[in-house]
Amino acid sequence: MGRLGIKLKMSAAIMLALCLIASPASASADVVAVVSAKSSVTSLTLNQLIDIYLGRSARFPDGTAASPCDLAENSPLREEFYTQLIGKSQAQIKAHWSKLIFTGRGQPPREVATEAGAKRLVAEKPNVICYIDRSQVDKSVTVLFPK
Amino acid sequence: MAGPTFKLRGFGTLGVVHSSEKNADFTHGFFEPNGAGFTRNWAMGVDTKLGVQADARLSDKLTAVLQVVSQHQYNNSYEPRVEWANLKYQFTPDFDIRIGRTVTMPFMVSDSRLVGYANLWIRPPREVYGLVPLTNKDGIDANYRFGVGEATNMVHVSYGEASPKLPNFGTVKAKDYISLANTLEYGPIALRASYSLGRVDLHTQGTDELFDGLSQFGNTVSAIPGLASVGMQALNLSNKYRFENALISFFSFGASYDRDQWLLMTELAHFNGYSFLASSTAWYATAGYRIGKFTPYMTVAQLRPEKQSEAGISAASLAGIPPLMAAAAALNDGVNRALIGGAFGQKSLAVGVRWDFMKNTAFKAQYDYMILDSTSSGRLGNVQPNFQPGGKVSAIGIALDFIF
Repeated sequence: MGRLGIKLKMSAAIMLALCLIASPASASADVVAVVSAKSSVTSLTLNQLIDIYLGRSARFPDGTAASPCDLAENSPLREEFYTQLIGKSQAQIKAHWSKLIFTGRGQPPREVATEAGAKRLVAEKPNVICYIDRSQVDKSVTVLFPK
Repeated sequence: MAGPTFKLRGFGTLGVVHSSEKNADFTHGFFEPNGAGFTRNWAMGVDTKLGVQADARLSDKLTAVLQVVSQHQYNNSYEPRVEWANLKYQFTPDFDIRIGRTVTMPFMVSDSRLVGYANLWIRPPREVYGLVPLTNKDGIDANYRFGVGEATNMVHVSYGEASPKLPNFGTVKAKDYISLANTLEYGPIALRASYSLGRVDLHTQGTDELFDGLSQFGNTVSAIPGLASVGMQALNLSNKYRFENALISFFSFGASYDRDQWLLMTELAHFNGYSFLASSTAWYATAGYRIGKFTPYMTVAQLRPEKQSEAGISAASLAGIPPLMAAAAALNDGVNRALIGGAFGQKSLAVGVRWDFMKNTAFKAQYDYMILDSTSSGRLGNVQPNFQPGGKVSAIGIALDFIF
């Protein structure tokens, strides 16, 4: 029993060490996509989130309009949202939107200067989706992804 | 949204190209009168361009776009031209109709073929993209988007006309130009199919002179007793090859995969030509691999024309009248030259790298190795009398793409 206890403790320590090595970013921030708690939408798949943020879909899965918002270009959380969840660098996102903008096929998400501003906008408008740090989540918002 | 809003944005490329073939020019397409190789050692005009776009949101549903592009064009100038100018009414988030000058959509990156920053290459593979060089048309288009499970499907239908100008006083006019395109996107995968058809008038100085010559010859010979059938032959040839109201059609299939490090793209296209513009099939495949800010890439491409020849006027039956016989032989030669000249074929290998070294700016370097078809100048333009078909041509280009 004692030996097992030591083993468990050791493996827990190894796991923790591995987590710290493998994902230093997740230790500093944990970005989540959110909507207003009043929204009828309660979850999204990763593909649905990507479609909304790349301008391929203007609706949530239940058919209601979806209006994505972005943090300011120099925001670390924005960088993290795109690299970790959407799977694209800022340069790739720029190239993607330049494809849509220069044919009038779409406009990039509206920008909000601060995380607090994003949270306020989300709380006010049920069709707005944005991303914030998980530590900022409270009763005013619903986390759509990752759960 | 309160009140109209207005946005001004732009894109551009600053580039130079060098080509090893000295008896023809490496150009961006049929609309560029000269380029690198014969005319100059290093050409700026092939890739350099500047586009400025104004977007106006007039109401929640009505938007307007005006895009003006300056690019080396048919008259050897960089005079700006109106690339798009249209009004869009967004009936629902998934359905819109645009009226005015809009994009032609034969290819996967048709809509951004001028926006270097949006693409991996310096320029789209010319084997495929040269099949339909028109970039815009005046008319109407409709776009409808719907979900298919987790995938998104977009249908595009359009109708319009276009009449861009060619170098050396050539003209092309496309009427009743109908296009259909369907794009299915699922995660990193996109699949696309398109079909277009239209009525086309195509005039170049050389071919117009040839067909006028055939008509004149036909009328002259028809009047000579006993030679009416030979005269008819010439008149029929003139009618057969005159490029007026010709039904042209085109289809293409494309697929792309874009996730994490990999960017893969391929397109296959077939052009149903007419007269001296040969029916052709072309394809390319591109692979890019992202390593931080660098994306090295490689493209292989091929363009294969259906070669044509024409028996022409029976010159032998004019043996008794040497000047007419010589004229008939010259006209036959002219027709066959036109048929060979309009059957473009080449294959190529391109390797390059895109470097996203700075915000909103990318630097690219690309090397193209082209193997020209044994009878044609491939995608080279401004072909000189000393040009020998069947050669191997190297071109190197560097470009700075930016958006603002």
